[in-house]
Amino acid sequence: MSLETGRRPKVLVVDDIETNRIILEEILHDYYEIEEASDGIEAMSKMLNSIVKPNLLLLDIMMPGMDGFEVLMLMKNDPVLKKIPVIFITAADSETQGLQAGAVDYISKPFLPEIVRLRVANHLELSLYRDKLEMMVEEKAQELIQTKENFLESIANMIEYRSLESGQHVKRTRELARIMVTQLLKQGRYTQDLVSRNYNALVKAVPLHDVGKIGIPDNILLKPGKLTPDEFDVIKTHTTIGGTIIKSLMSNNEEDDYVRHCYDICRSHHERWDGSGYPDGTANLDIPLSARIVAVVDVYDALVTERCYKKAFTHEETLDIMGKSSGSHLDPLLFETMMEVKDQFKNYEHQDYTNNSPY
Amino acid sequence: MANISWDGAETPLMDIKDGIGRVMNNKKLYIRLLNKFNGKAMSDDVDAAVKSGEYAKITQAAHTLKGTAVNLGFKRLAAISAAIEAKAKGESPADALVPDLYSVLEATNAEIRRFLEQEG
Repeated sequence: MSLETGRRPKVLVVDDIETNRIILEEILHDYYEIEEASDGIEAMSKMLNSIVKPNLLLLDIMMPGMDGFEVLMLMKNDPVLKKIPVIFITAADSETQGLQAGAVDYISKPFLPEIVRLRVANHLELSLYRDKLEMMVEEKAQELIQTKENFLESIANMIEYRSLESGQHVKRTRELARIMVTQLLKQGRYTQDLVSRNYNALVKAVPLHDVGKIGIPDNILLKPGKLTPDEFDVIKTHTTIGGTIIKSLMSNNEEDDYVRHCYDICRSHHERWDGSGYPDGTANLDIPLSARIVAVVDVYDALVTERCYKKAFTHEETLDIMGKSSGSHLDPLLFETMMEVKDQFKNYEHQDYTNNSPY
Repeated sequence: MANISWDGAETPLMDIKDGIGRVMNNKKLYIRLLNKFNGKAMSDDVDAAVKSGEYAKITQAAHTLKGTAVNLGFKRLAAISAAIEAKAKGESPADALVPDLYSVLEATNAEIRRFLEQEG
C-alpha cells in the first residue's frame, strides 16, 4: 500500500547487535525508511504502537530476552501484524526452523549486501501484490453481497405488483420499524442485540417480510372476505416459503447480517410472544428481535389500512386493539416502545409512497 | 554441528576488504564500526558464561560475538566463537577454547589498531 502513496516502505531491523543494525541500515537506507529495535520486546512495542506499521521485518533469531521465534509467534497471533512479511537474520543452521515458523525468507550472516537488498525488494513486492489481491477478493465479496441484496429487493417489489393493496404496506413497515429501532436505541432497550447484529440491516430487511406470499395462489391471497380454515392454513405457509426462498440465497456460514435478518423476519414475523403463533410456535426472547419488531409494525399497518377482507381502523382504535394483545401476541416492551412514539406512527399512517412505487 | 573442530592456523585472521564490502564499500562507516567494536566485553561475556556452566548462556554469548565478528570480516574470531557456540549447543564444556578465544581477540585487536593507524 505504501508504495502507492509514494511514501518509502518502512523496514524494521531487529537485532541485539548494534553493528548488525548499522550494517543493514547502510545496505538499505537509500531505498527504505529504516527503524531499529535492539530486542524482541522493543520490536513488538514499536510495531504495536506505530500508526504506520512496518512493511517488512528483518528479524534476528537469537536475542536475549524475547527471541525471534517468539516475536514471530506473537505477530502471527495479531490480525494486523501477521500480514507483515518477516525475513529472519540467521545462521545457516536455523533456516528450516525459521521457515517453518512462518518467516518468508532468511538472510544469513555474514550479510551479502546485494542479496539482502534483493530479498527485501522481492518480498515487499510480493506482499504488495498479496495486499492488492486480498483487496480485490474483498471487493468481489462485497459485490456478491450487493447482488444478493438487489435480488431480494426485486422480489420484494414483485410482491407489491402482485398483492395490489399492500403495495405501500411493505415500504411503510420499513419506516415504522426504523422509528421503533431508533426509539429502542434511545431508551437503551435490546441494545446489545441491535448493535451486534447491525440494526440498519434489520430495518432494510423489513420490507421482505411477506416475500413468501409469492407462493400463495391468487384466489386465496386476493380473496375478499373471510378465509376458510383450510385457506388460512395455506396463507400461513408464506412464512416457511419466505424462509426457504431466503435460505436458498444463504451460504453455509452466512455472515451477511442483512440476509440473516431477512431469513429471521420472513420465517418468524407471525410468531407470538406467548408461543401461540406460527410456523414454529417459539415464544418470548426465542423469537428473533427483528421478527418481534415486524410483528408490531405489521399489525399496526394492517389495522390502520383497508384490506380486501376488512375496513380500516382509526389510529386510536388500533392502539387500543394492540394494547389488548401486548404480552400475548406482542412483545410487551416493544408495545411500550411503540406507545412512546405513537405520534410518529400516526404521521406515517397514510403516508403515500406512490412516487417510488413501481406503478 | 557439535563437532566443528577449531584449528586456528587454518583460518585467516581478518578479511578487511570483505568487511568493507559488507557496508557497501563505505570505508568511513567501516572505520566507525571498528571503533565501536568491543570484543573485550563480548569475550568476557563468553568467559563468564563458560564459568557458569550454563550451556544456553554460553550459546547466546558466543553467538553474539560470532554474529558481530563475521560481519566485520574478523574470520578467525568468528571461527573460534562458532566453535564455542557449537560445543555449548552440543552440551559439552568449552573451557578449553577460552584461552584460544582471548589470544585470537588479542591478534584481532592488534590488526584493527594497525589498520586504523594506517587509515589515519
